[in-house]
Amino acid sequence: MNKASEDYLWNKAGESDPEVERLETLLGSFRLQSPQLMWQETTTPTRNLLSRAKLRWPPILALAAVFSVVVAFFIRGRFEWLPDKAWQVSALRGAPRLAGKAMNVNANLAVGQTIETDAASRARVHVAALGVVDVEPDSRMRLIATQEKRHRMLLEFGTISVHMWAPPFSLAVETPSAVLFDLGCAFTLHVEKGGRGTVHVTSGWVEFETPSRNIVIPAGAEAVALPLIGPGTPYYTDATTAFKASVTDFDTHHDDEAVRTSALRSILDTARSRDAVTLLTLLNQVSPLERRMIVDRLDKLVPLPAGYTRDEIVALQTDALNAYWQALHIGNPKSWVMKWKDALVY
Amino acid sequence: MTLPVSTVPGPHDERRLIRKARTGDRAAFGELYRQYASMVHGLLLARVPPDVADDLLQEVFLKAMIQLNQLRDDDHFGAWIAAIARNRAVDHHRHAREIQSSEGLLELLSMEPNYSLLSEAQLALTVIRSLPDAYRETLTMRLAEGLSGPEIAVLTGLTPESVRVNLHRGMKLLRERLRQVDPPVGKRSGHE
Repeated sequence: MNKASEDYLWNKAGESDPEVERLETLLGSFRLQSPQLMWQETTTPTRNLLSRAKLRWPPILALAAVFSVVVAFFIRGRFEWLPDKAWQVSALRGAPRLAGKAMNVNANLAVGQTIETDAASRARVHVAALGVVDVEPDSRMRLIATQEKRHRMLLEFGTISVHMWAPPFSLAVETPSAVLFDLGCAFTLHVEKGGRGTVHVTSGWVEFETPSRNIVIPAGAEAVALPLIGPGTPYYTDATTAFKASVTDFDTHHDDEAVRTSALRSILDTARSRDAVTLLTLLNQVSPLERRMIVDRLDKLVPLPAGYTRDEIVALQTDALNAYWQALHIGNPKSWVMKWKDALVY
Repeated sequence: MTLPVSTVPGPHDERRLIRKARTGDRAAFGELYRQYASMVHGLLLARVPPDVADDLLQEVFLKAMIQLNQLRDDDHFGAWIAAIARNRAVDHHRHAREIQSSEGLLELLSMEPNYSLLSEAQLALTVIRSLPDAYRETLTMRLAEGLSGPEIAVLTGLTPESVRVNLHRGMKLLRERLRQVDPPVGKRSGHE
């Protein structure tokens, strides 16, 4: 590159470089279009627009301004939380125990304390200002940490029903077999005293992970996590019994190649289009040869996304996998804001 | 849209806008958005597909608006929001099945991408995204967003020298990689 074309690359001055110009033309198609307009579409109008529109639409603008202020205060009030500030807890039924003692109808759950229910009691815990956790009968849960945007608890055993409307990863729930992360959603988590955990997602998405494996579970699906094994493969609860049994066999027989292979074949044979979620998750768990089998079946259930090849999926190419997830049309965790109705249930 | 350098915020203007935005002045934050959106969009384009970049851009600024009180140094708004954008892009990949087994990663690294199905623009962007971070970010800001080197320096907080070096070395590497693509850019059907 000579000095003149280097100057053109630097500040668009001097002799133009044809290759740089060509790339500018090509990549210009991806350029952000009218950034000011995009922000205005999703937030409040700017002052100039306000003043112009004010002449024509004073009542609408006044309402919009009030709405914006209300939303701003709502967002602030909802997401701010002082470190270690106790959570509100109330008894919904019976006599739950807080920190080992019978609790009043309304109380505070401090960091390190447990809330425990017996067969006849239930309790509701407010996760900062982001959502609620209903502690179902025969359960024990402990608050581990709380601060703005990062809240963590442990479900030792029992069942909790959670409704959250918050950015992904605001809430983590430890279990004996995996850590669950809320991605802006509603879900039920059950942990047996032996450590086996089952999460069923009713809205949004949940992530279930150990240091060696993480899975994401969409609404309508569930997954089981086992001690020492971690989270299993998610499946829709309305899948066939044979399909669900095969998924369980596949997840629990890592050391028995014959059972595992047979289970995989059964999964592929009995999968419906909707079960593509399970197959896509399995791609990370199998050999390249098995991956080709899965992709062949996937392609029949949900055609490969346009612009991507079978080989790219088999190679676990990120963009290709992302495109395949999008082709399932089941939304994605980033759309948690759209689940605002979840915030109205508590 | 190319921002003339004069519209890039000076330190005084930026501090004033940030102070006002902290008090809930949405117009002030809108002005910060107008000034930094192209930089952030370019940075996202260097990491995620274009349609995703558009979505993430809004999320990044929404997050910045909510967390503006956590900005410790008002002189470093550009670097701060760039860090938010990079983290958001990483989160996106992570939660869109980015995590790959070591076996899968090794396999991916050893494979030749199938470029034949990509448009020329997609191809160019894909090749840019294969470059080291510092190069791909400055190149998407320069070539896709149309920002000049001096503008990139002001918006990112990098020194002009660093940006110049990144542009020069990145462009050199980009030219080399584009020539290795089969068919090369400029020789594909429908072009030239």
